[in-house]
Amino acid sequence: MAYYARKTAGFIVTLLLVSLVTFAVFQILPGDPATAILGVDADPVQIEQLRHEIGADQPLPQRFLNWAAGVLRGDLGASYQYRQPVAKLISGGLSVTVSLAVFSLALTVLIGIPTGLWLARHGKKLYAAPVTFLSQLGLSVPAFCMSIVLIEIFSVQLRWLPSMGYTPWAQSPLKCLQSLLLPALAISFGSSAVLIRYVRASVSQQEGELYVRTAKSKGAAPGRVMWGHVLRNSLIPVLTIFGMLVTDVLGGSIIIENVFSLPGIGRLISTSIATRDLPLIQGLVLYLAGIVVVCNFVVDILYSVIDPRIRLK
Amino acid sequence: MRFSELWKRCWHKKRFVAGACMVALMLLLMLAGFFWMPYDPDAMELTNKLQFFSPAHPLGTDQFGRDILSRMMEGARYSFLIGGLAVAAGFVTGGLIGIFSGYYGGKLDELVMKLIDVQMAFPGVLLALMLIAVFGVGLGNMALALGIMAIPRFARITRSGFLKYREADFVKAARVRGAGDGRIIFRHILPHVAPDLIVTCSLSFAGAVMSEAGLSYLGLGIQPPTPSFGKMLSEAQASILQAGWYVLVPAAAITLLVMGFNLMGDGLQEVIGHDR
Repeated sequence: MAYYARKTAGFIVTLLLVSLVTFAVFQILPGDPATAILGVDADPVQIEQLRHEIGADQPLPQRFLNWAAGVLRGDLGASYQYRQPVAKLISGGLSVTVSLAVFSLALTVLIGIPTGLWLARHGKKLYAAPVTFLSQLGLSVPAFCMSIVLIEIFSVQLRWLPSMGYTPWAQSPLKCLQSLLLPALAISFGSSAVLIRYVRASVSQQEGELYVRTAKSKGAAPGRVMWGHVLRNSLIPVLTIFGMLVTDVLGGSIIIENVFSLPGIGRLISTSIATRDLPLIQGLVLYLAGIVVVCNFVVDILYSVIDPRIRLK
Repeated sequence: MRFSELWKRCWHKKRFVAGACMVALMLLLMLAGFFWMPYDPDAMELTNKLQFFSPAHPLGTDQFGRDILSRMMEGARYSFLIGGLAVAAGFVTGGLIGIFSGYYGGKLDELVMKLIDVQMAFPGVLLALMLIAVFGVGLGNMALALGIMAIPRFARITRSGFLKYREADFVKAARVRGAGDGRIIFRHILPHVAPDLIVTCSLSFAGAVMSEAGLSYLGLGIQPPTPSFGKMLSEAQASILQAGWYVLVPAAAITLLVMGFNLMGDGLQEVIGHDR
């Protein structure tokens, strides 16, 4: 129980610090928000009034508390450019980003775990060289580079898949999957390479353990040793990098959404930076970082449920 | 292990040699550009746009008829410059943070670890994007943002090294002889951590090149007409229907650089790993 309490406390502190950092960075900005909204030539009385209205005349800690209280109520302020609540804009883009992330993660697991297991067995053989090379390529080719090459192959040359745009799931599930397949492939090409590395290393390490020797000397078949003993033990540590994979996939989607013109959070971020729409950027950054912290927390808790030894360490 | 020995052993690692060749190729391309370029990288020739590879333009021409090889030569400068600046910033700042946190420990260490946790919560280029949003678009600001992104990695590696060696026998012996903290840190412990730091430099360089390309692709990094691999990719994407081959040129350059530094880092890591 003490373990969970400690983890939860750490989770809350991290969340608090993340929001503090997000708030603080935007305070470095030179200039005054009221002047930015009304313009340099505005009436000083009006500026003063607006400053008071939006709370810019209050001391810094007070402003942070006001902002944080707003965040907890789901009020992230209003976007300068779209003249809409930031929370509404984010929830609009969220479905796209989340579908892309889930799809990419699914592909990552489907590619990464079997390939990692296969490489742990056959990695040293000559016929495995192309696979090893591909996974090395996955670690080195940036996802957005990969996506443009994929567009060239699957959209321009073969004309199998669309190169841009997004169809919502409700409209046509098939078209939705089609529009997400290339971006998800581009992201999972890199992240599955990371997963392959971990699975391979983890399986190789477990195969040297004493319980494997015991199982073998009892006369267990190689398949039984692999599926019954090695696999279960080696996939537990792999779970820990799941939090990292979520971070990877979300980070990748920021640029990938721009490559494929998907109307998600990543695309909102880059357009809001181009127009210097600060409340929107602040909200988006906080949201993405929040998702990462929550996912890492969930992975931590799941890990300790699956492998209770962790709680004692 | 001494540096000369480390260096010698690296050349027995296939990965390191392959990586070094890739980096050397790009380095050569960049260095040659200081003495000779086929064309002025900014000279436009609209009658001659999107030409495929030819003896006159070995890597073809872009959508304004500019020579792509010349633009690659100049673009490589910015990749190396940004990568170098980001690694230098991360190395110095992250290294110092790691030294203090690992060697002295205590409350400071807890705080540093927490801050690194917080930094890890910002996925991919998000932190750099946030800083660019605040400081504005430009080469210097991007180098700063990528430098800040590189700090935690260096801090973590240095910290774990110092944590490992601060109670080691040779440190105790030095302390008995009356060596001060400064001497112990820089003369006795740092040389043991240095190989790990070199690996981190190599991997961080690859990461910075990748992020730079991504930011420039989004139009938030190096600004046109200055050539950069990322920007060239987005230009190539815009003309993908007329000239699909153009995409492959900047994509290959980015891949060579990133893979080169990654492989060198992996090779070094293998050598250090064997030593322990």
